[in-house]
Amino acid sequence: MRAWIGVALLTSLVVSGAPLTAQTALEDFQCGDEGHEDELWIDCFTRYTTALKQGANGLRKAEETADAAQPKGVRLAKAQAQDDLTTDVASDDSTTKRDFLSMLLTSLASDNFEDSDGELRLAYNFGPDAFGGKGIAGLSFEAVAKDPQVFDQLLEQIPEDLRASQKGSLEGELEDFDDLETRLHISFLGGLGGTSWGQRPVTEYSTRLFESVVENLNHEIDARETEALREVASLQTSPETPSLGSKVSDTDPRVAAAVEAVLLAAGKAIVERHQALARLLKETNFYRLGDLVANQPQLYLTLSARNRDDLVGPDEKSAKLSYEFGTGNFNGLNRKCKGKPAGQATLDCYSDFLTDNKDLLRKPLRLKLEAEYMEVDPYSFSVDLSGGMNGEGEGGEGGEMAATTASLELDKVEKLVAALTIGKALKLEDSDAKDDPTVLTRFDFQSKYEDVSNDPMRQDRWVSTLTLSQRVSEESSLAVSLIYANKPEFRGMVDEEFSARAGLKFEVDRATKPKK
Amino acid sequence: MQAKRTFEFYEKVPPGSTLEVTVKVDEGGAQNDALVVSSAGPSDDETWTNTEILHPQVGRKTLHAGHGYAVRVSTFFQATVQGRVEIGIRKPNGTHHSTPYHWPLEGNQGGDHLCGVFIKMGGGA
Repeated sequence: MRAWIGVALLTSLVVSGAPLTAQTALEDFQCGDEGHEDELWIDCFTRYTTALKQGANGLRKAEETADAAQPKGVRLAKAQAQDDLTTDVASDDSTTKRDFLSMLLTSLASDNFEDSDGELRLAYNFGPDAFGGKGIAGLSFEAVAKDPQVFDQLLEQIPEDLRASQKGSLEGELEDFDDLETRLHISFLGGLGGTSWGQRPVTEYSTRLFESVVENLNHEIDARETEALREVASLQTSPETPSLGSKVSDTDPRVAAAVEAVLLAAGKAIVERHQALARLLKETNFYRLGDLVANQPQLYLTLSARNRDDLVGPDEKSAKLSYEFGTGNFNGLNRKCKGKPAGQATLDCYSDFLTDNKDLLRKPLRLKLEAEYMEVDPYSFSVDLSGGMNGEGEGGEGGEMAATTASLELDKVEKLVAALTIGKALKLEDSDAKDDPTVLTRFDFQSKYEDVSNDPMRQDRWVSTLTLSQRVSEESSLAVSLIYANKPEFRGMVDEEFSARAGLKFEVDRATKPKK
Repeated sequence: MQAKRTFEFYEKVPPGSTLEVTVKVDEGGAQNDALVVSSAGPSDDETWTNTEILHPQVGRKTLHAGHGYAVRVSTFFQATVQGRVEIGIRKPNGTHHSTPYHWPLEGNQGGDHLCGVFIKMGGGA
């Protein structure tokens, strides 16, 4: 008796009207139809919503179905760590660091490991969440165990006739973590007015803007989704309703028709609402907020160290600081719209800002300042060649005494680089409709100074380049560069020489469009 | 447990259990919008804004005997994103009912994600 009441209840849902409209989206869609005879109710729901989404948006990326197998890099690192544990404890500092890092790599082994081209790479990224949205916008740590190679300059010290055999012998002494590079990258996002640093104001505004867009969504679409979901929720209160994990084919046909109608109506209403919101976000230029944030003042600090076995080369350290910003950024928006209440006022202010600053946003001026310091440690190393010589050169008949060692000594090298880069689009394709119009004309200026005073192999240099790019056809652009170098040897080849240090260079790029 | 479907389902949920919804994604990476609809009517519905379900915040709702529920979470990517949506049910004794579901979030600016669960209560329904 109860079962019949349940059937009557479910059937009444069909007769009552609303659920029947579900069929209008995919007229011939049916749960458990041919090819899906063993389908579960919940799978039918997924198939239907996926079909609706694909119908509107084209093919979607398939969902991931299985976790990837443990990467080879993890296995190799673990094996390496096991080897380290069974060998003698190293005494010198650099070896200790290498061993520690190899252990660290192993202990942190996870999906963040990659193994490619003979390199083991471990990377960890932390977003602003990790720092409470204050100051640091992101931090990444990367350790790369490179495939160790014998130092070229050291090999050059070995007599040519012995070089090949010695190289093979020295390569045999190399171990997996003999060339290890670690890098720490920290980024700071400029806060309001450039006086503070932090992600939080951007996030708060972004949420307020999103909620304002949601409020603007057609209320009927919202109401349809809510009511369709309520029908599914109500279905879950009836003991006669089949489990969503049961097969469609196992359900009484009269009940199945009602369940199907309710589920498909819900699927249609959910997808309709989701896609309506997605469209509205695009129409209100919500995603342009990302461009404003990208133009915010940003500061990057990168610290890196390369620890190498003496056979591979000297150790290196570097620190790089970059500052960049673009005009038409979030600071301007915040000045205009700060304090507006969520809702239409926020949306209107945002829209006005985009309209008022249209030219600035489409053709922003971007500036970047960089400073980098690099240091290569002094190097001193000798290779014992006696083993490789097999007794030869020990004063053979009438012969000279051959060298028994090959030595290389290098002084400490320091390098300081400073660079300024400015770029701006000057003219865009004449199309207001496009969000991302093609740049027809732009200029770029770069000035770079390198101080390598204590490197006997290199000279200090200062090179400046001003480039004007003009798109000349669909697939080609012409670039004219004015180049000036403080020393003639750094000016490079030019097409029109003004002096030993200055000239003009013309280039036609047929493959790419001018950068934005 | 990684969800295999757009929507998953829970059954035989003990009355008094708590629905928990959270989205783990970097701040500024995505905007989220969640809805819980109850068979009991609009007064028992719940709408959660981005800040209410963005990790470490968790949207929580007590589930009552005799009711059915439908939960929907929409996510819109503002940047290149890697994260996950998590939906679970905690029994009155504090342990999980079944296994919490999670949906990976991966995409670029302008992308979106849709997921949810249907809930059928046990005992007294």
